[in-house]
Amino acid sequence: MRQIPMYLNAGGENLFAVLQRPIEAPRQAYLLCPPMLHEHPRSHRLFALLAQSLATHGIASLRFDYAGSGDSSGDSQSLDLDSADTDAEFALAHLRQLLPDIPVTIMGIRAGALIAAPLARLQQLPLVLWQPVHSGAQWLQVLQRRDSEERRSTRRFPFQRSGTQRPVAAGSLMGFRLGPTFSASIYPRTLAELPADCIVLDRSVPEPIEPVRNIPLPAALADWADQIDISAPFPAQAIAEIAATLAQAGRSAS
Amino acid sequence: MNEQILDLGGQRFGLLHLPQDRRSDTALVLLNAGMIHRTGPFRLYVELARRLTAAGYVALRWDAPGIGDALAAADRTRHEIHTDVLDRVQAATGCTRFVLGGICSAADHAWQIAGTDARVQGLLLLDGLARPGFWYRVGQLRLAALRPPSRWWAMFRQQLSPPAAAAPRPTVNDYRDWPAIGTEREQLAQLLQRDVRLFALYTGGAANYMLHRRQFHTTFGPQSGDERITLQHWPECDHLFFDPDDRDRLIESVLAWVQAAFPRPTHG
Repeated sequence: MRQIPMYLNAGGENLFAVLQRPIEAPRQAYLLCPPMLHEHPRSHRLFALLAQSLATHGIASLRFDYAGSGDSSGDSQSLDLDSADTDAEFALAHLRQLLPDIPVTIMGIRAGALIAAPLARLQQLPLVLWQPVHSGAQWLQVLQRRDSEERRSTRRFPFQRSGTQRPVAAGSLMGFRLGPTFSASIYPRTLAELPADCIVLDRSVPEPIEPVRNIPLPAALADWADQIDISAPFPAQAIAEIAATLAQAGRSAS
Repeated sequence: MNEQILDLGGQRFGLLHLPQDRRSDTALVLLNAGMIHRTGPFRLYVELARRLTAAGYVALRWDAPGIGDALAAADRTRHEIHTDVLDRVQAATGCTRFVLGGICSAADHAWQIAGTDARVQGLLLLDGLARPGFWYRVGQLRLAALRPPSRWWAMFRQQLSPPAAAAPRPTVNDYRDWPAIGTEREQLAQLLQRDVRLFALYTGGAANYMLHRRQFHTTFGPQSGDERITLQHWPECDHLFFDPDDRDRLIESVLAWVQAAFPRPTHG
């Protein structure tokens, strides 16, 4: 396996990306559209390990950071879904250049699902969603509530008087200073009807999403979505099992 | 933006920030804050590195083995890995002096490396070592005053003793990589002898072991007031600089310190 970090020059933005290649010639490739805001660094290690596990099954992957996030150029005020759409399209084109003739699957993680789903539809590619955000508006509401909880937390701010809330820096959400286009671009987004061959990985839910295939995630691979701070490493065995399931699903589909 | 991938060997890499107009032979090397990968919490390390680079300094962000994209476990000792990282930055940039540091475990590891590598001329210690003592108890009283009286009894009991049946609660010494108690004063003396500059900042997020500015003196003794040490205590700020305004303030403070401690060399 080889891990190849790179910068992609995408129309004036430098997108940071990591290509993970299997030892042998890959039979499939994944493009990972990452989550946003605090969920991105919180889950970075998980998806680095998933990419490594997928490679053991002959699946290459390209992970990238949207402009204004991670190691890519721009500050968080330039982050929004419209530019993230463009970044994902660019990353897909680059992946196809790197690995021509290899079938590509798009994976959307959390809010990345709102970017991955339309891209997969447009390009008619298989889609895998990891704990997808179904509604941008609802996700924003959840984050605003969570942000408020965090600012009231005397665990995070021990010197804050109980019952008071730390003032909100202008335009900030979950620790990131955002521009006005972030909320405007994410608010109207929803996951439209999903294709029948879509795979959704999520916590075990009593009412799975139809008609897609649902793969339950153990708590150790799902709980991070509710957390800000990293408290424990991700279990390698659970990641390997999910990678094997995805690899098997890819074989069945081809 | 001039950010380049630096091969660190062993399938590891770092991101090297190179200034357009280099004004110093000093490079800042940021170490992982706990298990957070090289971007730092809320991209703090990215913003800090870019700000320093804009001021003419080289900076490196990278993942130590087992963190972020450094998938494999360590194949050498931490000391060997860090020495190798500094060697590679030096080879790539010509920088001969290094400022090492970061938040929490990054501060702990930077302290250790500075003790053995003379190229380390500056330490950025964010929520680094501090020992409790009298002033910690004073800080606890101050903290209690911020809580409703209904919680005072529970806080008091918690301090007195844990429940008899419970396992001993982990202390800060169980998860920090600090020197043996009593050795830190001698270690600081050795660093100052080498003219190492220190920026030590403690946030409110370190409240489990650091609650009062004077603990720094308790920990390091009379030399804690040395002019080569910049000490700050920001009790209103959290351990990971959640608020963007706190990050801005930190970045400006660190930049001012670096520029004062490692100014552009004068020629002629």
